Amino acid sequence: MFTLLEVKTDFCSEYIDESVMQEIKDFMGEEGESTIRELIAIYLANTPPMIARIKNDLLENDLESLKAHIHSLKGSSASVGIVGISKTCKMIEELIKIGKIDEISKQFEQIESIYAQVEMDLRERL
Amino acid sequence: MTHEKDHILIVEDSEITLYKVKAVLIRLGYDVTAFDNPIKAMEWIKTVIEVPDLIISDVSMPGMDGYEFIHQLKNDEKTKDIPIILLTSHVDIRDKIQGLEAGADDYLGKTVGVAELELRVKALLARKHADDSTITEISARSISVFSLRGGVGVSSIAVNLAEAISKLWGIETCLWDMAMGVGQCALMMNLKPVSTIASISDWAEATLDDSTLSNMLLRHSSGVLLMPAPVSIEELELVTTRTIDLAWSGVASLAPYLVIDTGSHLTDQTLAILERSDIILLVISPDLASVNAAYQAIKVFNDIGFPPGKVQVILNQISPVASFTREQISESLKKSILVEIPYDGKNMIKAINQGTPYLEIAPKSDTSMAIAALAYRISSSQMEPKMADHSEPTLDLIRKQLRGKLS
Repeated sequence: MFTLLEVKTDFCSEYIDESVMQEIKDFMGEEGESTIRELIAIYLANTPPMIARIKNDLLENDLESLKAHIHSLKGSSASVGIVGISKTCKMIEELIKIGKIDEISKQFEQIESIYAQVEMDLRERL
Repeated sequence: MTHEKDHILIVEDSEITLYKVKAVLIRLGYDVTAFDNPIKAMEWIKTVIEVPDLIISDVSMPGMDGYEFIHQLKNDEKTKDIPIILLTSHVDIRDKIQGLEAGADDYLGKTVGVAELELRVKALLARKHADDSTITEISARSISVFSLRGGVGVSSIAVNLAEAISKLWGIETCLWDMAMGVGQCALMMNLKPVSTIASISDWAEATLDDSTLSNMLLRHSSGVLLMPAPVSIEELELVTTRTIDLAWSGVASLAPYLVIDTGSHLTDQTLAILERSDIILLVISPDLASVNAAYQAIKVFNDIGFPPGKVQVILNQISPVASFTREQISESLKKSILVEIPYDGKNMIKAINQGTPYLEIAPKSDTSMAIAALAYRISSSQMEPKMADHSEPTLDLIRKQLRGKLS
């Protein structure tokens, strides 16, 4: 029982690499807390519209636009340590490269699901 | 030279990356200007009077990508010398080549840690400031090549630097082998020493004339005049700091330039040479032992009171694999690297075995170009004006190429 509970409360740890934010926080000293809050706020504001754009690219089968948007989401996620999303984006980039387009939507659903989970966690830090 | 607060321009369309990099750079004490797209950045840079000291740019951006942005900067006289770091979330070898071809100086992944970002920015700025002052400030008549660790190529660099200066301007250059007890220079140039400065050690100053010294010199076909090293034990005992006092001005006036192989030991004699030299080229190889030795040497030179500009670091790639990058070394020594000499082990060994200077074995290699560029840096401000009227077309061409490489 205890282990289950622990796994449940800790589900975000596999999606968020805490060391990324910690390093920024330590480096920024007295401005650490506010810098992190601002970074999280930017991430929370920009990610849902980006996910919507990706969804639209998939609907319209626009690979060029999809590539650019996935690339951008990968970068923004990595810069705050949301590795669950940046890694999935990387996987989608690989799929585009090798032409396995039909497998992309499954990975995209994964992104939506991870975002829903980390969003709650991130909001609590604001 | 003191510097105002360095000014860094960031161009990045990802709001979050822009915010992060900007926050870190401001914290580090830099002035920062940021744009979310390169077209706006380009318009801004055209209007400013003083261009930024460094540009950090994203690769994939709307309107104009990072490569095109760099291309435009490098083709404008006003902005062509600004170092550029490319920020990218995927660094594969193709991106690197494309970026370096466009003129980027360094790469950073978007996931870059704060410490790494700080290191790279500082290293590039240090290099830029060194370049700013190089051409005019490094002008030396007497050049000591030295290392506190043997086996890093001190003699090879001394021999080939002397030859490069000679060939660059069509003049004689004096090479003084003071790696006592070793005598590599004569071997590398296939010359047989007859007498050395040991023979003048008991002379009185008044009786020593230039012809005595001049008679000791071994003439090499390239224009290099070699003052060979004392090698036998009897000779070594005779060479004291007084001998160096006695010989210095005479040896220094034998040719327009004096290059000294000062070896790899700090003795009273080598210190006497290093003190009198206009510049010390401290040779290092990219490994821990050598960097540590260089660190110690720089510390000693600081303690003695040598001005920092007198000591310049030469990174000699003596093996195909380097343990540290130029930036890492520059950061740990707190000194920019003047010149990096690329690896060419095969030809270097061939040169030594044949007794022919490397420059003649592989005159067109990158390694030769690097040595020639070093020679040019040291001598151009004095020699270039003299060459204006009478000059050979081939030498002109070489010098033009070197000038292009440096500016």
